[in-house]
Amino acid sequence: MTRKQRRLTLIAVAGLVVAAAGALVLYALTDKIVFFNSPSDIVAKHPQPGIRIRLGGLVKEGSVERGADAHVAFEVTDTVASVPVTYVGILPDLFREGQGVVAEGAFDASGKLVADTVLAKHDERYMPKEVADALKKSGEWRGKTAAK
Amino acid sequence: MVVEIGHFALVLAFALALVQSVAPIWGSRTGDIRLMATAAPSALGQLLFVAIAAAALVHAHVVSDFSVVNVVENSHSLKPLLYKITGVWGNHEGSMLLWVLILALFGGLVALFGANLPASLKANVLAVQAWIASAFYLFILCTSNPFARISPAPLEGNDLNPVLQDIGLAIHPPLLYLGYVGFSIAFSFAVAALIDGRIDAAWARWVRPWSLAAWIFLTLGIAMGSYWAYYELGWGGWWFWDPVENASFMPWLAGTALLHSAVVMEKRDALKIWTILLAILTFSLSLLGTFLVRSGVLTSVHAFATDPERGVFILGILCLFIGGSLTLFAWRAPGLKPGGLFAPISREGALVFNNLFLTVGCAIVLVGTLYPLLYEMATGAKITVGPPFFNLVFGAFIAVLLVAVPLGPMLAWKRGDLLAAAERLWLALALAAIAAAAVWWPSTGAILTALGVGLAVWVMAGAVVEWAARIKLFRAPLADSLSRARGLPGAAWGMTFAHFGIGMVILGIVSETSWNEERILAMKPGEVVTIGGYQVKLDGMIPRQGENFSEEAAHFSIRRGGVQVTFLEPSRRMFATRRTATSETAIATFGFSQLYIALGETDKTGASAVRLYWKPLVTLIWLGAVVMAFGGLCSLLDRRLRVGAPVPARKAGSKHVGPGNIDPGAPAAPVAAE
Amino acid sequence: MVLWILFAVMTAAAALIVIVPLNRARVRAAPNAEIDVYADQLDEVERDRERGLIGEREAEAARVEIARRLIRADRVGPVPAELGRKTRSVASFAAIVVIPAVALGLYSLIGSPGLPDQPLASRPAVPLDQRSPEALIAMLDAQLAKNPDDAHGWDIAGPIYFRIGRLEDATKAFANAIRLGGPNPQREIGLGQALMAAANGKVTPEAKAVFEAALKLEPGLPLARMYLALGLSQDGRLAESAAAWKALVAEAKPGDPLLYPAKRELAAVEAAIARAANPASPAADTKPPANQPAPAPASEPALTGDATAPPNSDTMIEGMVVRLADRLDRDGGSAEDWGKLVRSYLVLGRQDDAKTTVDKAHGALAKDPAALAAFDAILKDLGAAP
Repeated sequence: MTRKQRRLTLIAVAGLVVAAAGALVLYALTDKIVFFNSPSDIVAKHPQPGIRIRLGGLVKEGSVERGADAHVAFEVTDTVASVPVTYVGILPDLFREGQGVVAEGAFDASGKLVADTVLAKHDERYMPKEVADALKKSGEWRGKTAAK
Repeated sequence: MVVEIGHFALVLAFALALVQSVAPIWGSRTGDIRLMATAAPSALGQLLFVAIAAAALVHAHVVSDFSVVNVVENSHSLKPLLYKITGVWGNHEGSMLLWVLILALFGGLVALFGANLPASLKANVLAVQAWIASAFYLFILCTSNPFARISPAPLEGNDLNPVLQDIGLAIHPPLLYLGYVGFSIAFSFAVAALIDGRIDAAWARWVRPWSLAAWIFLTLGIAMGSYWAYYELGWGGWWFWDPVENASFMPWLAGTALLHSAVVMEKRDALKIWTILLAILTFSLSLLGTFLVRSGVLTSVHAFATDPERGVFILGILCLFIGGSLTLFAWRAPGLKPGGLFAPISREGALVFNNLFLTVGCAIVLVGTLYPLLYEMATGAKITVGPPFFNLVFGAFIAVLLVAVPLGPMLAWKRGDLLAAAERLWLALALAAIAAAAVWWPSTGAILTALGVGLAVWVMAGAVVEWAARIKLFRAPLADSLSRARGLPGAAWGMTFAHFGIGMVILGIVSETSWNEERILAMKPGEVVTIGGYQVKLDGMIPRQGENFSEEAAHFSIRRGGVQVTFLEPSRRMFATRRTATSETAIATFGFSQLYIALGETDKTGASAVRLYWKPLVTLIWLGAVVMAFGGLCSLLDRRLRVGAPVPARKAGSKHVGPGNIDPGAPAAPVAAE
Repeated sequence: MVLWILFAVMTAAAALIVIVPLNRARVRAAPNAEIDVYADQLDEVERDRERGLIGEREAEAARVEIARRLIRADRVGPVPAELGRKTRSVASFAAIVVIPAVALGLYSLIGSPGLPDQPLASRPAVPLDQRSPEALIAMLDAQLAKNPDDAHGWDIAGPIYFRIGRLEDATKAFANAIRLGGPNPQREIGLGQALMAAANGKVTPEAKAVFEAALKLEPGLPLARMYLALGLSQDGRLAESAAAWKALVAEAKPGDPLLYPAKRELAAVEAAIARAANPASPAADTKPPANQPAPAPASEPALTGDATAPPNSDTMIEGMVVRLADRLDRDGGSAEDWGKLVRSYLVLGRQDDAKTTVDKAHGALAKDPAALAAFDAILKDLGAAP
């Protein structure tokens, strides 16, 4: 084979592989992606049961219910609408009522999101004023060991 | 004063980098050897000044100097000393300083050990390094200055996120950055060659050790990060296809391709232009990774900097370097002499095949990572491209490549015989078939698992068979084989280990995904649950007090056949300063398998949420990566890779690493890091 | 000054790094390293041939190819040149100017040369009232861990934990204080409140037992009786509850901070009784009839005054106000404490009590003009000028 032919062969093979990759990527991108939605989106769009989605919002205050064997139910809200979610497992360390959360899973027939992944976001630090005052007083106490 | 000295040192490093960006290249264009000679001292000077800056910042963190904003935001006077130090790079500003420190370190190493590089190449390489460094110094000084002060100083800091207070975090980013930034050397060499318009076999030989070193660090860094996520996040997962993970995985794929193509270039003088392109792409992907992580443009559990100004700045750096280098490539590459010829079926052909699949695999990861971003820009809807996509598309492509892994080394250079190569691998093939059948037979239907195990055995056995063939094991007298093994070049050992390591990783992945057991339940003290053949009993809860946290640990005794083998104590830690809790997992390793327990909250009835996993052979995933990195090290220690050959008579001890200079007359010994 | 001298030294060093190589007397040309690489490659061809990876013919071809490159590399040796003196001085001058100009220029924009280091250890001991709450909590936690047997520590920690919402810790702290320091009414009341708060304001049997214990220690203790009365109404024992509240109201002196909540609760309980009795259900003395929707859940019929705020927590707040008022009456307190009490009354809508408190505070603080001024400032903030 001449140099040119070899190069052409190489390019043809490479093209074939790239084309195959492209086709597979396109197929997978229509089938395997997961949409990110807010509770309002969900209420507006009514996604079909069984399709994976990601739901982001706040954990509604007072909605967390813990059942037996690490079953948890809570609602995710964006203050306009809220969507019920169920989850089995250990919630992330930062999961709190009123805090941001992302749940991923699919809806069941009753309109609940059965999540298999729950991620939490958190960055609140809150300290009432009078508590801060009391704390300062507490600093004066050193205990027995320190007093020696 | 220490803080301001550090600050000024960083500014000086920037000034020096500016000079280093211009003077050496001016010298190489005009052929002036003195101007070129400024490059090496400047690079070392930069290293010195950045090191001063980094030391000053570490000092500020250690003594809790809360007049430094960075310390206030990320430290706390009661934090254990270790985490005061690791907290330096546990935040955006500090990690960028680490980034430029490592960049300067690599520049300094080129200056020190590149004594026998052609003067113009060395000058150009160091000038290009200085371009990168200048851009990042400017980025740090303008948008993320770790030395910003605050007055009056607050009395206490905000503490480092407890999730990040972990020994894994102490090691993971520096390793990763050594990898990312290490590829800047390959990039600089590529750009320097394009500027010079000259490239030859020797060039590949200089680039290879640097890329190899970067690749070793990146491999270890990725493995370390994966293990950190595995034990710290408490989900039992070890790879999430998270954008930040992908950001480190893409340069690894491209870098692996680069190592292989550099071999072809070095040995056969072929694939030159392609190798240059790969060198550019690898570092570009490192930059892209930095951009993705630092700009917070992709939501991710890792993103701890979300700042549009920074994002735009890094995007600018990204466009400048990637766009600039690719333009230079398009302009100069056609002028380079094309390389040698080879038949499609040959060692070169196999390496091209490797490169093709690695780059396509890399492109797949890139598409999957950036697609949500593009989709959101185009339609406004947010989507996630998660594991299902990557597992299917990337998995399919990489499997094809893995099948070919044992075949490549069996082919001869220039013209090979595929059939003969396959014939020599009959033993590996037989072992793979037996292993696959052994898996498939008892659990009919688990065809993917069987194929996966077969593939893993094929790759591992292939590596061993190839090694055995090299030393003529069982075909020559044992003593002869042993002496051949001793004489085997480091690069050959390296390949054997690296390929064997890949097989281990596959076996770990297949085993973990197919046979992993999971139990999530609420347990009360005294309850027993059986998993992976072990009886796990919750004995009770133990409250404990740590240095800056209090924790509630659960004591589990692990029995097998009624005999206690070990105990585990996962816990939940309460950090009062940030008012956050973290869950500390506990892991027991049995052989290559692991029993993994994470603890959740305790409810009113006294039952604790517990997550138990049995992960068969899971440690192979990380051990495999370590074996691969060890292979890289063997290859790096290969004498022949050393830049130039040490002539005993020449009075240039500068090639040797290590404290104290080395007797110039000493016989050449293998030395690392060159 | 020292700092600027150091800066000057560093800048000079940086400039020298560039200038010295520019003006060095002799420069050694680098060896042609390519030759070494090709020599190595020749060795390797030999090894490959020996291993049988390539045949004799291929080996020969490879050797020829490498030799050809070797010769070429040898021929194209770099020809080092040197600039004239003038260009060299231009370059040196540029280095001398550029490095200090960039470094000092940029530093003067972003640096803080006037700010000394302030490592924590060498800073003057931080007055406690300037430390951050987080630091103080951490300190408290650490001290408790070190001194788990000091009742006084638990006494301090209990109310703090209670108010930052660490209710379990608060319960533990009060319980520990009782265990180590012996029971007293204050500790029992604290424990009871923590238990109630943990149960969302419900007087649980546990809490009830604690309040009863407090009553035993100090018979007639109004706070304990108040919570017990609340418990009765929560249990639906409205008649008993009403009796208890009546007794509290009857015993209270005018101006007693307890008076107002007691009156309010009494009214609410009586209203509930009336509602329950009204729609022809004679048994409604103890429980509202099931078919009547108006009073919310049977367990807390008397306390549904406000639909949004949890009624029990309201009572809890009032309980706390009562305690604060008690303490101030007995021991006096700071301007802030008095201010807090005034604010609490204003928030609860008890204008009269607020006025009384202002008067009391003025009396108590009369000896301390600074505190008096502080108190007036607080009043101003509250919009309730004396």
